[in-house]
Amino acid sequence: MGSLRSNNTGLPEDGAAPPKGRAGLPEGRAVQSEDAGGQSRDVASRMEERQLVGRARGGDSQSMRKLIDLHKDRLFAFVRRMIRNHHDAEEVTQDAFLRAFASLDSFSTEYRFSTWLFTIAYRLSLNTLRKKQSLTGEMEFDQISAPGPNADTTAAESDDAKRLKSIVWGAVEHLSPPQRASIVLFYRHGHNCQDIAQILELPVATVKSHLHRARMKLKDQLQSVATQDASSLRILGGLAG
Amino acid sequence: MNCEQAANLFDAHLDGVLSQSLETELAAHRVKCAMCRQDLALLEVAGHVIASDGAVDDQLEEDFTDRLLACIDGARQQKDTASHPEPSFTINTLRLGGSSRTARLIHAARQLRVSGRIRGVQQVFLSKPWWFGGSSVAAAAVVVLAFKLLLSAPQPAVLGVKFEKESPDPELDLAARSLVTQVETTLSSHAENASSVLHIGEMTILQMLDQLGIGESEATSKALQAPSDPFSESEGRGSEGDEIAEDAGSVAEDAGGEDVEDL
Repeated sequence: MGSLRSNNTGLPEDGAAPPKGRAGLPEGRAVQSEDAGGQSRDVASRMEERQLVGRARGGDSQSMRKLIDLHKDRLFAFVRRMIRNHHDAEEVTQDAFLRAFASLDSFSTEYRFSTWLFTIAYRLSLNTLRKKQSLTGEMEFDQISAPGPNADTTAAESDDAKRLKSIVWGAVEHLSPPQRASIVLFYRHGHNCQDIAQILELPVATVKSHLHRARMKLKDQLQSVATQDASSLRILGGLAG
Repeated sequence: MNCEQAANLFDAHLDGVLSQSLETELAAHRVKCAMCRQDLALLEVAGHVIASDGAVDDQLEEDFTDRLLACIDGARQQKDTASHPEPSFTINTLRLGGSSRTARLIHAARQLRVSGRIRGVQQVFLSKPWWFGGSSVAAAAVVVLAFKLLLSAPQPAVLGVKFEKESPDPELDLAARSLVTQVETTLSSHAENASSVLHIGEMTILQMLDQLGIGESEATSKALQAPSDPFSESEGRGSEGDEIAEDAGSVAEDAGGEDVEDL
């Protein structure tokens, strides 16, 4: 596969431009960042966030509660994807909040609170993974969880669709931590490469590289399964439109 | 556009940052090339599943926020405590039986602890469970030792006072030392008939007296004159003479007895 950074692609060099609409994303999410209403909502939410952070600095527990409630589910989902263990993920999420609030004075409001929070959580997740790795000598892939049952989403799902999801998430679990973080933050949390670079504290080009490699691994994994299974191909064709 | 050029555009296409003209070029290639069509379909499907699969996220416990806020509150209190002088003296008394004077003494000591230092002690127990465990083991060892010694000695009302650590705050240091002196004075009168003064920790009471022979402070005097006697029950128990009641209450004197905080 060719490099993303080839000169004739017509891409912005820094990758900072907001995505106009992402292929493969559900429609609502793909257009979210490009409409004017979305941008004004974003500005309003940032203003509100700054106010909350300001009050939380002063020790206002209601503001802290709001900040926690705003971010806890997304943060936990991210951490859970990173370290694949519910209990550890909950601890890391809690620790991330504790550290964030403990050093709130050093937080600059020119950044998003969520970005800062995710950065802390990512570092803690890596530490947890390292500890696990040093204890077991290898990554724990045995804890990979297939998607759990969910009445809303699985009622109408065929076995093929469930299998497809299982393959995709299984492939995600086998990505390296930065690749997994990049792909989850990009698709699951709707961050662009610039945001991800801030969260992972990596250059944007490195994030693009991680995303590219992660996609190739996912594609190869799907391809190897799809070639063995004609029904998977039909699903892929249907989902891809 | 050939397949290699098309593949170079896949990431930009998936990121949504490809220019309109290149999007069209890629779409045209996609129509005529089955291989690129499938590759792109696989990539798009992977992204679609990751973005939209609502069944994969576990949920946090419902009380997560409450627990977290409690942790934050605890951490803040700990920080506040750390910014103030720690209790400088801890006086542990071991009682066997009791008398009204002993009870008053211990009551006074307890009052002093309440007036400013019980919070700090509680936090030690909450934040350092190993400390609690260690203290329990040490206390058990002391009780066993006391039993052995008491078998052959007349029973003193109060067995000992333990001097734990010094305060960096001279005012607090002085007040606490005064308290120890008063405690010691009372102990001495009780120990007149005792055959020995027992060792608790590294110092005997008399050694401690030698080190701490300083006058009374107003705060400790007031505390020692407390009229009520909350130990009537334990006195009754103690008067039976066959049961050792351990009162390892941690007592410390706040500077000047200010900031009384009843917990």
